[in-house]
Amino acid sequence: MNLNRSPLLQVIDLNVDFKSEGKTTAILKEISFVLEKGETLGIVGESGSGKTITVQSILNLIPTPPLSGISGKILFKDTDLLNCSQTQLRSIRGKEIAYIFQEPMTALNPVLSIGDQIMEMIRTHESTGRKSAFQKAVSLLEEVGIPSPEQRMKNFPHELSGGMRQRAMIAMALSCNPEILLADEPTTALDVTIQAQVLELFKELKQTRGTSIIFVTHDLGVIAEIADKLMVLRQGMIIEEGPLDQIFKSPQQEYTRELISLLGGE
Amino acid sequence: MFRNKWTYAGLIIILFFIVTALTAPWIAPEDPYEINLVLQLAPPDADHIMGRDNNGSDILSRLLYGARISLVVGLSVVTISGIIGILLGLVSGYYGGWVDLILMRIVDILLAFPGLLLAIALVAVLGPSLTNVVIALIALGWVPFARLVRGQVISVKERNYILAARTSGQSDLRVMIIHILPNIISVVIVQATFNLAGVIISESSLSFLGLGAPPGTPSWGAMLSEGKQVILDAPHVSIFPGLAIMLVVLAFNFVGDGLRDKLDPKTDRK
Amino acid sequence: MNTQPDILCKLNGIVKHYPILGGVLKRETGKVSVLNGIDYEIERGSITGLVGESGCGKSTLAKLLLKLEDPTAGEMIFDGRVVKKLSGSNRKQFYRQVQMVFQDPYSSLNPRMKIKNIIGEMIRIQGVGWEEEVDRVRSILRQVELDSDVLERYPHEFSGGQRQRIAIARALIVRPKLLIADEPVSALDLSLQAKTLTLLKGLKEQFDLTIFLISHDLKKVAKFCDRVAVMYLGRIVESMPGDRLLNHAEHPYTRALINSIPSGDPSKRKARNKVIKGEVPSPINLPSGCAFHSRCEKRLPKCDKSIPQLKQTSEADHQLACFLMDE
Repeated sequence: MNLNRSPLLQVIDLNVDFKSEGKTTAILKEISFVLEKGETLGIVGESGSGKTITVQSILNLIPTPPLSGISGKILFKDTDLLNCSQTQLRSIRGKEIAYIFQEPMTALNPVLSIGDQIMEMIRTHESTGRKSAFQKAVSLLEEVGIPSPEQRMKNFPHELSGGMRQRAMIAMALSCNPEILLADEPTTALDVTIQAQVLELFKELKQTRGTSIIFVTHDLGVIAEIADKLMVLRQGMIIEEGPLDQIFKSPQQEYTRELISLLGGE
Repeated sequence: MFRNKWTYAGLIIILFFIVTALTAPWIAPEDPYEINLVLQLAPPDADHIMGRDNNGSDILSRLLYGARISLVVGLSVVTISGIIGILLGLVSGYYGGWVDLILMRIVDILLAFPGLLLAIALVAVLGPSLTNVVIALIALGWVPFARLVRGQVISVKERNYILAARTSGQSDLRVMIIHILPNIISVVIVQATFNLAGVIISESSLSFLGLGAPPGTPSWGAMLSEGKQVILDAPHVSIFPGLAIMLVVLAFNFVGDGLRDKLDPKTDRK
Repeated sequence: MNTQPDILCKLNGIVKHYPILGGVLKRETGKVSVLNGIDYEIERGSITGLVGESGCGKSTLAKLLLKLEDPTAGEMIFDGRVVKKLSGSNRKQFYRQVQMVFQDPYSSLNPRMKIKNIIGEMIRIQGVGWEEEVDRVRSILRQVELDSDVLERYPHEFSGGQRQRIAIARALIVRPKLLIADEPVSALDLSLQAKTLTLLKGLKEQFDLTIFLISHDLKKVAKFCDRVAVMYLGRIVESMPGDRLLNHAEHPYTRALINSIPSGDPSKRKARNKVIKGEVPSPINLPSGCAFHSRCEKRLPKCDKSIPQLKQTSEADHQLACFLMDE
């Protein structure tokens, strides 16, 4: 690894506070991590551990309220995402860093066709004509494994199965060839068979596109399939991080050990 | 008991109007039926703080007496039509099938006509009287409740806690009243406060057409429509009954909000 | 000694079709074939698991077992008697014997009711007196390991795990014979899943329960259940003892499900070719023959022509509906 080059994404001392009914709670405490190009970072934790908030803060997606305070640095290629203009942030969202949600049914607009939504995404960030945007959208749908993509372009989200919706969501995220994919529980709502298919798709994207991925899930088993690096969150703090194989072989924390032992069905 | 102080404001206003309606004969400065054409449309002054109407009657006195008709008609129509509408809506939404099909076609038909026109036709058949006005308004008033409740029931009835209630062996009626109704009552309350204003106005329109209370009987709606004709020359004739209607509706809205919060354990914190 | 198994609930040729209505006159223009002939026996005192992908009819079967819906054809025999359409008195009687725990603990408790009423009304409608009701609610809460200070509180004040235990308490207070649990732990955190299942297993012994567990988690089912049935598009395609599921399943569909489970071991990342292709076909246009033939890698010529029946294999207690077993 080239030590002189700065990493693709670097989060330094991220602190996030929420306020509700006059009470301030620290949601994230001094979160720091690094994501290199082409790397897949898995973030695992139970509900309330702050894993979703961690990825949402990268794109400044947390609404105020409940957000009451955020500090630290999130450096994407030397731009501090916590400290840049809205215009700058907008040009990064979707184009450089794309987000994939857990429940594609609510993340896709129900009144627009899949094709329209992908084309809109493309044309927001690239000055292309309708025709070439259409072509690009079709090839994206093909890439994520949606059969007969031309016909599917006209479908509305509710006309697709859960697995197909998640594929369409991924196609949309890929539309501007982002450098980083933030995937928040992208397979949780799916059946095991479809989950396996979507995980294969992610692996393929890693290889063919070299996209860096932050993969958030409560399921360590899923992470074991796809991540290079692992970060275990608990109550807003990193309790363990490191290369995936190493953590699985010799977990340092009791909590991590417990999570791994639960995988065996014990 | 209520978290929101506006709820108390609403309760006080409603109480105030009920008391004035009950005590009108003692507190009204003049006979509301007294005609005094010399003082026609006299503006407010120190003795008659709301002025006089087209017939020279004291507006304050008529307003106090009018509260009796307006509140009785308003409350009785909304309460009875609300109960009918809720029951029909519950049955329609819960059972679906042909019950639903028939009830909702009736609703569609009733909604296809302008409401007031149907009310006029009904009263014309029944014979003009205040009681028949109330009956006609109830006959039409349940429609929006039934539609609203049906839609809400359909969205709630598939939730698991309703299925769970059914698997406890409870009767359908109990499931509807104990489990479904409390979860949809807040929208019904909002609808009821809207309807109240509409009913007060409708009563006036029917009375104005000679189908309700005999001409000259004070009711807020009737006073409002009489004042309409002279609104440029003597705005006070319509302003005061208008204000009274607005206050009552507002008060019911406040109480409705308070009730809604009270009924929701998430917002009702001790 | 009587070797005949003691059957609590028997399903005979259960079929459930939903009509698709179209046009102004709401005429039937098609049908959704959710269950297509289920013959199954649930043994008394067992934990029976049902697995399959979403859309294969698992939840509909649960609703039929609970009599929340009536089958289009077929009958259900419970405790030796045919269960007819429920009405008034036999409804109360039936729900004393069969109860359910739902998947989502957030929607299964009435948000407008206090916990004491949610649990208490189950026996209140049976005419149990006030004092006895409070006693029994307290004792059932103790059995699901909740303090009795929860009585006066509302569902939103509890975590998912606590809510699920409240839901279990509600089901068990009537002392049912059969408990149907539809994905009872899948909405919970991993560490809570194991705890809740262990609790359920303990309660099964205390209450002499028979549990019918619907789940998509094959590992959990294999560990927790005495028997497992695998369902695909409204038919049971394989049935076997739980401990045989992960290593001795024979149906290509069951194998595909097992291969899809993440290994949980980074050194054993699966090769791409093992992942099953495609999705569950629509139950509106069922594939001809064996419904699985469109996704099956070991398909035979006759698979799209006739439907394989569920037959006993050479192993005890292992039934299979696949033409491959005859080859």
